[in-house]
Order: sequence, then C-alpha cells, then structure tokens
Amino acid sequence: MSNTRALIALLATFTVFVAVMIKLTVVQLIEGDEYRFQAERQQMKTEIVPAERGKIYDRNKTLLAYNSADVSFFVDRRLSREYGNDSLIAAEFARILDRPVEEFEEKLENNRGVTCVARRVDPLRALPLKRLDIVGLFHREESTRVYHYGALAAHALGYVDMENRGVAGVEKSYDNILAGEDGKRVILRDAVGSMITVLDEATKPATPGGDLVLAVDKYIQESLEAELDSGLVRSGGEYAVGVVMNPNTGEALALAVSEDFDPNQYYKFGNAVRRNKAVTDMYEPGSTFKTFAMATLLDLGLCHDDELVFTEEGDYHYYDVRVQDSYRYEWLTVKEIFAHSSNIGMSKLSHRADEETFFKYIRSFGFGNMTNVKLPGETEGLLPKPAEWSRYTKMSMSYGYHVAVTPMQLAAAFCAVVNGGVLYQPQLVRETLDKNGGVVERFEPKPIRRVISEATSQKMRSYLEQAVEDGTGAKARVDDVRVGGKTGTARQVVNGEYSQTKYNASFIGAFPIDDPQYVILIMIHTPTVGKYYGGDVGAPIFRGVVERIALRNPSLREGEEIEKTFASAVPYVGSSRSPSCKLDSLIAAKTADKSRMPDLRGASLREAVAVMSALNLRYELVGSGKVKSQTIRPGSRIAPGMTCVLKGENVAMAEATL
Amino acid sequence: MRKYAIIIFFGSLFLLAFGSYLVMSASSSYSQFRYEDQFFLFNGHILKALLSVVGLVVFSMIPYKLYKPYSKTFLVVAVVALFYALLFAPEYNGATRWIDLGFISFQPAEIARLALFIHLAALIEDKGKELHDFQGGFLYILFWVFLVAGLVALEPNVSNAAMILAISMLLLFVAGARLPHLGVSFGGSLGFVTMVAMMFSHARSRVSSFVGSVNGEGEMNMQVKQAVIGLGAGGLTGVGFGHSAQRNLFLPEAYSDFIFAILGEETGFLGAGFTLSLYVLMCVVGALIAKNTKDRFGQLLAFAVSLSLGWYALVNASVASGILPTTGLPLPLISHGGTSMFVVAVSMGILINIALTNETKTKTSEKVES
Repeated sequence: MSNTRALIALLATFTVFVAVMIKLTVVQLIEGDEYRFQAERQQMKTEIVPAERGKIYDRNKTLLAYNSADVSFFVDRRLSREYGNDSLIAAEFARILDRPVEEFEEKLENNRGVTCVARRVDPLRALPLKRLDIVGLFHREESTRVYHYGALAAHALGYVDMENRGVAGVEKSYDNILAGEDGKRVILRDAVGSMITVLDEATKPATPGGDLVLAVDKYIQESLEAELDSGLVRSGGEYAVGVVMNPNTGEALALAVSEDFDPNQYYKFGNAVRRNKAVTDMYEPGSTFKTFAMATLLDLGLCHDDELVFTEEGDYHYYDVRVQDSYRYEWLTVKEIFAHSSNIGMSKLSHRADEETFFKYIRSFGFGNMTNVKLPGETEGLLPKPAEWSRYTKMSMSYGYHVAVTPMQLAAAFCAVVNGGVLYQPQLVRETLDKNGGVVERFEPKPIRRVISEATSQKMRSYLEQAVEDGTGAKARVDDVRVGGKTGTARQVVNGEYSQTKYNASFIGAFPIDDPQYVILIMIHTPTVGKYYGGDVGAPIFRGVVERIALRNPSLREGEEIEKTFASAVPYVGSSRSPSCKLDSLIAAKTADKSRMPDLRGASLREAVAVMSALNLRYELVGSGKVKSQTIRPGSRIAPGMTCVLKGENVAMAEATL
Repeated sequence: MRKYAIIIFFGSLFLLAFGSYLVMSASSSYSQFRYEDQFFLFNGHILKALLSVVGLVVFSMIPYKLYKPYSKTFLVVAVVALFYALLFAPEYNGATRWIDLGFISFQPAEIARLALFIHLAALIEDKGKELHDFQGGFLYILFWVFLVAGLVALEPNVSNAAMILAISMLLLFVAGARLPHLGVSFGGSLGFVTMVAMMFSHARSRVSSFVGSVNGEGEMNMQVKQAVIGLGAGGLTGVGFGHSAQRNLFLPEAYSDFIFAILGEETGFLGAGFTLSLYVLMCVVGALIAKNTKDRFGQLLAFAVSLSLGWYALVNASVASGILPTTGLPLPLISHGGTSMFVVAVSMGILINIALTNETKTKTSEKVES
C-alpha cells in the first residue's frame, strides 16, 4: 500500500467533504432565510375562518334570512388517481346524494387537479360524506345564505354573491354590519393537505356579523306582494312597484316590486328584474303629484275649499299650450278640482303661487333629493330649479309633469302630507342586534323638517278622503275603513315625446284617513289590458292591500264586515240557539273569559247590552232586532273601555246616518 | 490502535442510535399516512439497528484473517444471489432488489459489495506484483469488479454500481496499480456506467434533470428541491428535535435516502456538519488503522471499508444538498433500510477487529512495504 496514494485518496475524500460543507454553508447559513420562507409557505396554511353573516328579521322577529352551514367537497385528482379511489368516490357520492353515479364519474374524468365534486351540500347530507375517509377527498365549509321565504321582500333584502358579500338591498347597504369580521387560523399541514396541528399563536377568531331587524312587516309584505302580483297580471303591466309606510315614523312596512326574484337563486334572473325600481327608477308621477301642489297652495293660503274655479269645460289654452281634462266640468270648487283630478283647475290655481315659493315647497317634500333610505342605487329624481323653468313648468308640475320622482320619494312625501306635515326619512331597518339578541343600535324615526302646517295636513286628509268617496279614486273605497288617496295617470316619455299609448298608472293613499297609520303607494308601469287610469288599475290594488291589513287589524274598521273564520272558535251564545237560557246564565257563559270578545251574533240587543256591561265594554247600537254583526270580532282580545258597534238585523235606516 | 478501535466502535454506536432517532422522526408522518401508525417504519428499523449492534460487536471479535481463505466463496455466493435477484426478485422502480428468504429479506447488492472488497483485498495480497501486469493480474481483478458492478447496475441500481466501481478503483490505486491501467479501466467504467445509466429511464431522467438544474434550466428535481428547503430551513441550529415539517410528506423518502435533509432541518448546520465530520473522522481513523496494519489483506480491507463509509456518507450528503444528481444511496448506519445498515455495521466490526489484532505489534512495527 502506497502511503502517498493513500494520502491522495484521503485528500480526495477531504476535498469532497469541504465541498459539501461549503454547499451546506450556502444553503443553511447564507440562503437559509429564503428556504425557511419557502418551507413555511408550503408547510403553513393560513385558513380564513369566515365570520357568520348576521341574520335578517322582519319587525316581529320573523326570521327572513339566515345561513346554512353547507359543505363543498373536492377531490385532488392526482391523489385519487394514484390511489385508485375515483370509482369509490363516485359510488359513495352517488349513494349518499342519491344521484346517478355517471354524474360524478364524469366530473372526475373531465377534470385534472383539484375538482369540486359536490358544491354546497346541506349539513344533513354532508355529514356522512364528511365521514368518508378516502385519500384525495377533502371538504370545505361554505355557508350558504338562505332566504327562507324565497322571493318575499326580495328587493328589500337583496342578495349575496358566492362569497357571501352583499350585492343588493339591505344585504349590500348594511354589509358592514352583517358581514362581521373573518378570523384566521394558521395550520401546519402536510404535502397532501391534511392538517397536522393548529398554530395557536397565529390564530384569530372570527367576529360574527350583527343581525338586522327590518321595519318590514312580513304579513303586510305578503299582502302587498299578493295584490301587486295579481294586479300586474290583471293590467298586463310591465312591472309594478308597491310601498307601504308608516306615515308617523317613516318606516317602510313593505316594499315590493313585481315581478320579483328568488334571492336564493338570484343568478337565474335578469338585471331588470333584480333592480329595486322603488328607488332606482324615476318616473313622471302625473296626478298623484297634485297632492303636493294642492298642499302647497293650501298651506300658502292661496285657495279655499269652496272657492269656485272655472275649468273651461275641459279644454284650456295657456299661451300656446293646451291643457285637457279627462272629465269635462264647467265649474269646480277647489276641493272638487282635487277630487276629480282636474288638470285645468290645478293649472289655474298654480298661477297664484310664485315660482320660488312653489319650488321651495316641492323641494321641502324631498323631491330632487335622495331619501337616504339606505338602499343601493338610489336616484334623486329630477326637479329642475326655477331658473331653468319655462313659463309652463310650474303649471305642468302642478299636475305631475316636468318632475321625476321615485316611488320611495313619493311615498315619503305623501306621509308628510297626511301625518300632520312633517317629512320623515324613510327607514328600512329598525335596529341591529348582537349575537345574543341584544340591541346594538336602534334607528329612531328621523323627522327631517316640517313642510306644511298641521291644519293644512288635516285639510289635505279630507281632500284625499273626498277623492276616494266622490272622485277618481272610487275604486279604492273599502267598506268600514276610512281611506283617502289620489290617483295618477301619466304619459310616459318615449323617444323624447309623450306617448299616446304608454302610461304609468298609480294610486297613493292612506288609512284610516282621520288618523293615518298606513300609507300605500301602488304604481303600475305600462298597463296594457283594459283601462290604464290609475283609478282603474292602481286603486283596486290599493283596496286589496287595505282589506288584507284590516283583516288582521280589525280596529281599523269603522263598522261591519266581520271576519267569519274566527267566529267558529268561540262558543256561540246566541239566544235563538239556547232559548231556555236565562239572561244571567247567558251572561255568565259569555263572560267566562273576560279577556276575549264573545260571539254575540244572534243574541237580542237587550242580551247583548247586558253582556257588554258585564264586560265593562262600551257599545254603540245600530239598527234593531237581533245582533247581526259586531265590530270587535269574536275571540279578539279585549280590554275594559273598548267600544264595540253592534248592528241589528234591521239597519237600512241607520246606515244612512253613519 | 486501541483508541482507533474505540473511536470506530463508539462512532458506529452513536450513528446507529442517532440514526434510529432520525428514522423515528422522519418516518412518522409517512407511517401515519400510509399505515396509520406513526411508529410503523421505526418499529422495523429499531430491531435491525439492534441487530446491527450485535453484528458490530460479533464481527469485531472474529479474527479478520479467517475470511481470506473463503473470500472467493463469499463472492461467488454473493454473485449467485445477485443473479438470482436479477432473475427472480421483483423490480422495484430504480431501487435495489430484495431477496426474501422467508425469515429474513436482504439486498444482495450490499452483501456483494463487502464480499467484493474482501476478495479484492485477498486477491491483491496474493497476486502482489502481478497487479502491475495488465493481462496477468490487473484484468483478473477487474473482472470481479465489473461482474459485481455490472450485476448491481442491471438491478438496476446504477449509483451503487458506480460507487462500487469508484471505490474499487481507489483501492487498486492505493494498492499500487499502474496509472495507465487505472486510466484505461476508469475510462472504461465511466463509459460503462454512462451507458447503463442511459439504459434505465429513471437514471437518465435523474441525470438530465440534474444537468438541467445546474445549467439553470427548469426546476431542480422535486425531491432534491424539498431536501434543500429542509436543509435551508434548519439554518444554523435547526428547528429542533422532532420538529421537522418537511417530513410531512413534502420530502419523499425522508427516512431513507434523504434522511440527511431531515438531519439538517432538525439540527441545523451544526448537527449536519458534526455528523459529516464524524464520518470523515471515522474514515481517516480507518485509514490510520490500515496504515498501521501489518498484513496487506487487513490493510486493504480496512482501507476499503473506511473509504466506503466516508464516500457513501459524502455522496449521500452531496445529493441531499444538490451537488450531485439523485442517487439511491443510503446514509451509512443512519438511513432506514436494514441490509445496508447491517453490512456497514459488520464492516465496522471487521475494521475494529483489524485494529485490535494489530494492536500489540504497533509499537514495534516496521513499516509495511508498499
């Protein structure tokens, strides 16, 4: 053995050793940070922990929108192929989801890499799928927004996109409250994607979103939608918009656009259907706008109820503009001008106001400004300034042209007319809640300004009532409910000219008109079947909504018309069916439950009065004979001091005096 | 010489123990993933590690000169086993074949290597001067080298074959073979290895991807890339015992051929450098043992097993750090895989025996002539 050669061999060994140490120095010491970064990037995974989106309730805490903890399933095709699991996965999914096995086989065959095999499976069916332990199959929680009542209040609620971000409605405008704040979780994972452990120090929990309580009342919303839908079909209109508001607070109790859409599947509907036309679209209102012109004139003291105005027999020339009325009258009082919706009368009266003042009033009603109802895409409408006016503008405005409004603006302004003169900001949301149901923020009614005086408002209420009782709004009349309202029929502008065939038919009204609790606006865009007048198209829809609301709230009624379906639930005490009953026992029977109204129909008025006294109720008697109807329906909750009108069989004479 | 023996003995014990720990850490994720028992691979390994300790101790007590008369028989048996494996054992893509005897299974390539070194040492001692004669002696010796290397290459384990060739050449060089002879055979074997490498797709792609990555084209081989990431993430002091994250299926074969990367990740530059230094120290100590051995057989055998230990370790580390293309070579005494570990432990036992046998004569010894 050669020592020299052995030394050479050892030196060679040592050289390689040095080379490796140099390389290790480079990799571990010099470039170590870079590799550490690469290592962490592949080993750690930051998972977003999505915050639970807040729920949405109606004003009575009926749940309208919530989240379903759905699960999506994915397959890493490289792994599943390597382990030969494709057919097993397809078979299991087909079995559990009850779908043809080919569907899943195709999905797996046609895709490489990571493939979604089942998207958003509901939690119940996802459970057995999650339990499957197959290499290459993994899942992710993907909560799905659920609108429990489908299309109900769709335009108010709006919808969320695939990432649960609000896109429309309150879902968008209150997204910052609903969304909450996503948390994050850093996990150590392996190359296949399985979690090894959670790194606690880098974990941040999610903050759930707050809940919303809407001003919307589900029952009223349903009523409005039902009437609006059938009204749209009857009239053959393009679309219909309805708004119900509480005039004393500005709360939107219902907001509907027909046709509506299902926010659960918003992508199946076009943009035109999803658009919330109550705030995004403006239109020339026509005669409903006379309400504000008349209120202005009355508030300025420029006309009086019984003052007679010459209405030119329906054909009026002002300079080179011709104003016509649908119904021709020679003379009308101011109140009649309003009731019969005379354009000529309004035109003539409008000359009495100066432009600046007139403009100021209209503007004070909120026209030309956004209502700030907090719905996305709201437009401010069109209200030209007096400087831009022609000599005809004020006159046209007095009967609803040369001004463009949104249904929301119109409803809000109308509230000011009937509620005593104060404009409120329309509100769609009452309060926000935390996760425990505690109130975080309550949105109190927001009075903006007084527009007209209390007295003017009261006068306008009688004008509006007359327009229904003896005017164009006759079809809005509801038995036993005092309503007031105004019709409107406006030509649409098509290609820069007023169309002869396309109209907007609308009706806006309030009830009970002596103390308004509800304001309802109905607008039908382009009715095509039958008559196109607001009084023919809008008023019946209004009437339908009023009837439905009164059905639930009978105290709104002045007289008869009792909901008979409730009556059967209460023991019948009429004397005709229990002739042997003595009065005392009758009273005892009827007053067994002092908190409920007994059914007095069929009893004699004398017996009825005795019962009413025993219950400490006040009563009014109409007619004679046996009781035929009662205004507090049987079974209703009662309290001492309430008044019930009892009508006898023979009421023909009495009715006239009411 | 006694202290040399002690260094080799405790060095081997340390590597076996440390290796067992590393296999436990590095294989845990894979075992869990594949067998749902994070100790599955470790359980198999620890038995073989204990067996290796037994082998180390037992062979350090068997006088090494006993092997010389049977060296040819050993080698013939090993070659037959290689043939058998080639013909009957299933091919496992790019790796050494196993022979399963029912109660035990082993890789004949590992045994053949040791048998070859023993026989080479015997041949060189016997032939002596004939080594200088190309046709008379050199070629005969070369025949065995090429036979074993060729069979191992066909298995196919090209890298192991190349290592056998290289160490054999080094041995012949140290033994005093003529440089022109060595040059010719080295050139021949280089061509041979290249040819065989190109025959097998796995070897071809490994080499071409390495060349590509060196030239800056395309990605480094994924396995090497992950190994380098592991080493780099270790930094100076490592991520700590048991905290390897690259073992979580990012680095394939983290517990066998690429265990050096996990070593570097968990213990950092310090741990990796220390371990490599230990190999080189043992290699140098082995060379010193060889230097102080009287007989040529023992001298060459000691040198062969020492170089073998050092070079396998260095080549393995080179692969893991991206200097050399991917090979299928284990890290001696550390990697999971029983035959290699056992055979290396046995060869260390032989080395110790050589050292102890020549102990008494050291002080008086005159230099063995070369």
